[in-house]
Amino acid sequence: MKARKKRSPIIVCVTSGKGGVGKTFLTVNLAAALAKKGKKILVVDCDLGLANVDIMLGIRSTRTMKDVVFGEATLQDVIVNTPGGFDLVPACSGVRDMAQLLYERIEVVKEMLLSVEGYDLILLDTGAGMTEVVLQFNLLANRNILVINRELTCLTDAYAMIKVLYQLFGRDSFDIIVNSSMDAAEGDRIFRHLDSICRRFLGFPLTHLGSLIHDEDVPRSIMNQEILVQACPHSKIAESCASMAGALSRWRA
Amino acid sequence: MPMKQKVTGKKTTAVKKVDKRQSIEKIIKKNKVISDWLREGGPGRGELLMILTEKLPRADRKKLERTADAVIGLGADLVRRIIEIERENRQLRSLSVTDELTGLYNKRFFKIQLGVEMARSRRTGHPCCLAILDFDNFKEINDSLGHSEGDRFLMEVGLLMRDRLRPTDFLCRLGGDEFGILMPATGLVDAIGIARRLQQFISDIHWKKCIITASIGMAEFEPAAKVELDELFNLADIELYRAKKDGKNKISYTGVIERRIAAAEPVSLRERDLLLKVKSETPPK
Repeated sequence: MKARKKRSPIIVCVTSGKGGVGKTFLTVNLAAALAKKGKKILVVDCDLGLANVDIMLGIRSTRTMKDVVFGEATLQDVIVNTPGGFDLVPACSGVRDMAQLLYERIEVVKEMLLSVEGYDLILLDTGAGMTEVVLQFNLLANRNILVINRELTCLTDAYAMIKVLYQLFGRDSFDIIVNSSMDAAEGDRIFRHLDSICRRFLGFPLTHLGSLIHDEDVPRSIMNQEILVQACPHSKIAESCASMAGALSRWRA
Repeated sequence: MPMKQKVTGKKTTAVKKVDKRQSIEKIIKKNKVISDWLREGGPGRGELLMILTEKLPRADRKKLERTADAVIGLGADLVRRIIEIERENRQLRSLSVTDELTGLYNKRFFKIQLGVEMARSRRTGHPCCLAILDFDNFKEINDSLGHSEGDRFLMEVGLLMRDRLRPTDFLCRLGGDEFGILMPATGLVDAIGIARRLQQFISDIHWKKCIITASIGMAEFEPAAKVELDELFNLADIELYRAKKDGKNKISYTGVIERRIAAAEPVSLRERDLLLKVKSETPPK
């Protein structure tokens, strides 16, 4: 029997710039794939006011991130177990001005996140847009994952996000996941395209974490509140998630 | 000379008095500049005419006082007048920075003090914040209860608000139902906390069955930022407008990071055009 190592977890922020790119789907499935590998994972739903992770997992929790932000609970108090084998700090839907309140309490929330123990990795699922709160979470994280797809607006928004994080805060390391590409080749192509523009204008390369091939199982699994890597473990998407999880599990802070 | 006076005694003093009076009138008559100064509505009249006198007979003083701004005798009279003038001065000065209705500071003071605090921030490196507060439904009080009730509301709530702020904060009435709060050596997050408490306090007020709320626009002065006084004031004003537009009873502000994003170099057209080329590079299905 070995005591759990008191190593502080790696914080990974999943962001996209544009909304509806598949951040939450990816976060949940990556977390489940990592949990399958025996990793202790905590997902924090940072999209306050428009919570998604708990809905995707069919979880109803009375205590949420709201209580943390209001100072009525600590992060540990609101953590729930999920069917995916990972833990979750759920957010709360429909609370007005939550994003503003979070801004006012961001330092406290950040401190709590940095002092969480007992996990290998914390995944932060951020909201859409380039808001103060989204950027704060991105800056707090050790690694930044950007989810993109073939949509032109998504690509420009992701590039704008990279540019801002680089120019204003000096971040020059981003891991890209291409979502819902037609095939592996298209995923590579989209990544190389964005990568070439980053090299040319910003002067640093991007890392291609992986691509998820477009699959009709995805909307179905979301509708059924299932985790795809569990419901269809032999699907291409589950395989991709497993390989990306392999890469993530080798990350060190 | 003094010797001679002493010898001549009482008689001469009487003569001297007469002489003196004559001499003043003579001087005025002879000297065109002085007579011009003293003539009512005369061409040579300056902004302020003060005459310092010594042992001038009352009648002469009265005469001079008609046209001079002040005729002051030396000695005790001078000291008394200085005290009087200084007291008047102070009263005037406080009037020029005080809001007549509420007794709080006025907009003029707010801007002066904002300049002082900005300079202090630049010197010390600590930010300062300002907030502009506007009641959402003040018109209702005015319309339903009358203007005098509206005035009474502003007066009482103004003083109550001041009591809820820290002793170092400045509460000013900027005009109408708009108030300014200046928070020296305070960062935005703390300032928002203060504004929130104030907003909560206001929404708890029931003024003769009228429910009152307030919208607040906030701005932070970063010592390193090259923001001028009026710009900063306008920033808070724009935020107030946003708070009103967002549905009132709101606090609006722009965080430091968001401000930096707004000021950052956006994605250029060249970058955008290249990004969009991904389409042509994707072969058709």
